[in-house]
Amino acid sequence: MISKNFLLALAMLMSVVSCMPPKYLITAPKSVPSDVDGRAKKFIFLPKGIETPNKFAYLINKNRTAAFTEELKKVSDADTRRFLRSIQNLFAGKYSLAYNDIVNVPRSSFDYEAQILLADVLHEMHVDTLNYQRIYQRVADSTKDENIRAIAIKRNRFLKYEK
Amino acid sequence: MRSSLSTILIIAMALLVSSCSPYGRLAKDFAGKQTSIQFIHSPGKSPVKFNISVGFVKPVITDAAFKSGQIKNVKTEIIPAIIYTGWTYFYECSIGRNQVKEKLDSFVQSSLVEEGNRKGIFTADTSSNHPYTVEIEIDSIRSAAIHKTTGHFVYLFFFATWGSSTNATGNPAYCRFHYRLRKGEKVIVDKSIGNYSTIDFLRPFPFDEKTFNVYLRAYLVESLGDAIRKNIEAVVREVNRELRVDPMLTQ
Repeated sequence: MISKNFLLALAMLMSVVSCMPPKYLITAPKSVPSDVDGRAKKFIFLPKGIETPNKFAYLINKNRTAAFTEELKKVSDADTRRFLRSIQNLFAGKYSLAYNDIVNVPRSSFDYEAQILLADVLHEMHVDTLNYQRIYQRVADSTKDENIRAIAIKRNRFLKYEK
Repeated sequence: MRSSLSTILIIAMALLVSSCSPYGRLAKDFAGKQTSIQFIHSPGKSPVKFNISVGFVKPVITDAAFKSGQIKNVKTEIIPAIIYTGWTYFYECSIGRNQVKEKLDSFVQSSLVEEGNRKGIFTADTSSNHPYTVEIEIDSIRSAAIHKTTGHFVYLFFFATWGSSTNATGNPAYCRFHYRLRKGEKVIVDKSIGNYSTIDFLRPFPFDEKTFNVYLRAYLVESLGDAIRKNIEAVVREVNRELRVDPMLTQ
């Protein structure tokens, strides 16, 4: 028999958790990177090739799964579809599903953001055997996109702040 | 009777104000753990390598003030009034060897070797048996901030309200290398290079004091890494400059 007080406490806890701001923020590709207000947010830029980046950003940030799935059907490129689905699953906390998609996207895709996303997913899965600093260094050295480079450098900062 | 009542009141106020001191939480969350100082080397193209090796000897930290991290009370302001008590605590929080996860001298040496191999026109390692060697003394190194906690307690009959806020200010980190480039036994460069960190503080959101203290430690260690990175890059640039004018290499 579950007491009323327990249910009330559970409801309060759930409402607090649901009010916690997500640590990831999905944005359209041309946005200014992360340091906007010095807050601890992990930015993910959507790929440049997709037609409706703002719509995808909105749907993922608001966790509108059904509408996202519908919108995803309009994307023809298989790697872009996997990348977007992986972001959505990462955002929703479904890390195994996110991994299954991103692991099949070449690391250098989307100016090496695929490599960052894979590292994000593995980090969320508490894989501690990887040298994340090396990964972010490789991305910073390899990408041609200044925004992605800024993301890689800031991800390395998060490693320190989260431990 | 009246004097004992005022004694109790004073003791109660002293207890209230001292319990609001952030020292205990700072000792636990700021000083009690370690943060990695690993940084991302500045990206850029590797230059063409000459067939020459440079050895980076393990640096020596000669700054006597850099030992273990400290939390030092620099000022306390208390306003005890009849219906209002306000307080402000200022603590200087400084980073020492015990807050840095890596052994600092070994870390600087391996970072010099890595940067040398990335951006040097030479190959770098830790051996001292090369025609060129670099010796470094870290003669000034610090990373500190002022941790400020303000709070108030307002009470009137059976009603009371209180609040507090925490902030950190100050110049985060500075590091200076005194370095010598030797060609065999001869010292060909004897210089100092010092840099401040210029990175910003990531504020935790939503705010809570424990996370703030953890972030402050991470920030100060990271700032120290940033100042060290700048020095390392400057040393490698200087070694490149000297090697470029070496007649043996330019023949």
